[in-house]
Amino acid sequence: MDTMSLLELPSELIIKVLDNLDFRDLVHIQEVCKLFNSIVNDSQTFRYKVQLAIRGMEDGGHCTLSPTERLEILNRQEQAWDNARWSSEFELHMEDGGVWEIYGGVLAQGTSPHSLTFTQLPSEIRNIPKKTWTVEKLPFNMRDFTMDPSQDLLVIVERQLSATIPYHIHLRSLSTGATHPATVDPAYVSHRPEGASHSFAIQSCGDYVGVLFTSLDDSRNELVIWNWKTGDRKLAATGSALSSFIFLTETHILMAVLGGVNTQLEPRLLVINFLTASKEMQDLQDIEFETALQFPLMCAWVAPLVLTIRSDPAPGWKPHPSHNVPFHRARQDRLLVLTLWVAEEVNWKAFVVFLPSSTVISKLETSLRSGQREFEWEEWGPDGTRFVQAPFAHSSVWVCFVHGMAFVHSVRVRPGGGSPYDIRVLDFNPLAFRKQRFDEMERSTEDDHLTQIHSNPETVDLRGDVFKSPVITTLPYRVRTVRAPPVKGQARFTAVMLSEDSIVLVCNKEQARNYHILTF
Amino acid sequence: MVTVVVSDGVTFTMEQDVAFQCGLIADFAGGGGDQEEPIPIQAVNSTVMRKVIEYCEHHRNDPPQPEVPEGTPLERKDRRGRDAWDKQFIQVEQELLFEIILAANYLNIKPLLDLGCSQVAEMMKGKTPAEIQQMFNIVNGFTADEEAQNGEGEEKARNLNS
Repeated sequence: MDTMSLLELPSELIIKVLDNLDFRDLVHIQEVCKLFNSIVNDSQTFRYKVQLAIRGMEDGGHCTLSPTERLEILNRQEQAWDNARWSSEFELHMEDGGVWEIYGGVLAQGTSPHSLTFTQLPSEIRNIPKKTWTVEKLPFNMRDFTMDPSQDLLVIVERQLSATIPYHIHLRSLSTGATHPATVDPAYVSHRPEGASHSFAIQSCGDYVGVLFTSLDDSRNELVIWNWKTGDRKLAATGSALSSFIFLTETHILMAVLGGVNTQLEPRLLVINFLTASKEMQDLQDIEFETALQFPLMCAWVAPLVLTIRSDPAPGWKPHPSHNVPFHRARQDRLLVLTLWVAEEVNWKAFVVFLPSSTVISKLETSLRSGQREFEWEEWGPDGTRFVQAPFAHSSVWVCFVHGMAFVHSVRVRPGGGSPYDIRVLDFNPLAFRKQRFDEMERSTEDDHLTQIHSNPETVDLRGDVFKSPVITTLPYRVRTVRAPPVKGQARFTAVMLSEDSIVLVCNKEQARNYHILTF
Repeated sequence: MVTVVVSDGVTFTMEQDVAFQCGLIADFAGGGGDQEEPIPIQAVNSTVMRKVIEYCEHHRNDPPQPEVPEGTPLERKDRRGRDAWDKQFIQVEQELLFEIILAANYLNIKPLLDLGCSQVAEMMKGKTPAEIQQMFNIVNGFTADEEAQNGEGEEKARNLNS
């Protein structure tokens, strides 16, 4: 019998084989032989796959459009973002309720202690309609909230009138305000942290919700994570050094700690498996962590004050199937934006660290493999991050400045222009960056002032008044500058935020404040 | 019971829930009842058929697989199906692997076809074009000009990977 070879398989079976490969392997496959080359080139599916990866996207899975149509939409989206051509813009009155959130393409605002208003930010390109709705007559006083549109979940912290009553964290339906059908009676979880008054950082990820109770009266901060469907507590930690947290993966959180753990004074990031952690309240010093990432050494006179982590969306997040989007932000890698505030004698200084989740996860993998749990800054920071002085007007209030692998901020422009500010989008997707570098090798004459690549090392704190030695980081990124649109009247924008399909400007106009939304 | 006869004349008898994982046999045998005549399967030889039956016997009690839409992200595809037994089962010589793929396609056993195809892909992952050529004994058939272009493509790949 003749021996059978791969090339003797019918091409539909070869396509089935290649369907298992990611775009990197597809690029190689094209060079193996003529047959493979033509299969990859002729297949819109494979071209779509390569383009998705370069754009940091992932296929929606539910949509009825063909790969050709999806590829066309993807290219249209790239053009729109790269050339700052938004499809529409509109203004939204800023409510006086004091609490707001942007997540999963929805902008939510409190309108009273018992009501919220929601706006689904539209996308012409991904075919998401604009929609508004309200949740009213909540049977308790709302203190803070978060939401997850993909699970129709609204998480509300109830205001308590006495320091002896536990906080109730209500689990409601985002669309109706009724108790969420997937949770158990009484549709809330509760916790009584130390101290009398608190601020809250609420995060959700799949079946889990975490609340960081930050004490406003010198008590210790407390973090509790629950399975919101069953009401079971998964992790509880306490410590005054506990500064912030996010869900890093579907099983691990990343916790920002200001010092004091094992007598280390520098801020650290701890990776903790919240599914295997103790359910009993544990002091930060006793908590079992998988990996600890150390910040650069600071001068003796510098005191770290706050270290916040922001990232959007949560790990594993994908849009609600009813949206039927052709594609959405890929779930593998997300940009974590760390803001470190320090007091250097009488001055406050802020630094921003751009940290892809993949940098942390690769260290976590090293820990699980080799047992090394502690990493000095030099072992993870210089190659795996970008450490910068906080950009102009970096806000500790308007914190939805990151989405996927992109970060947005405003920059002052020369006087005389239309708006006093431009918008800058920093994109840390490594493939987009490499593709652009490659494209530029091909067409070196086209000079595009609006898009620049930053791949040179960046040095922070040359004079060494905060850190013991200069902090040098090299993670490359791409910057797109977007000319801000003229805003009506005498308004100017004070902050800029990002959602999957929108840029959200926060505008001040005499007494009133607005959200000015550019949608793509 | 269902009886089939393959290309080299060997007959195999198996229980219906084993045989009916082959869409082709299920279609052929129709509504059920014992077949009088063995079903001829000319495109498959006895060596390959033995492997196919081993697979079907192992998976006879599996719940039906939900249809996975085209373009489903890879990690989700990986998560379903490929258990340790499957991985061990598909560790075979290249020639046999290709023949299993052809047989699974012909007999219409989708999970086995997926398993075979993903195994071939597994062998390609992370390899350079030259390594893939060597592994599968492929002569590339590019002209010198095309080779030069490929050189650029290689550069592109390096750029994307570096």
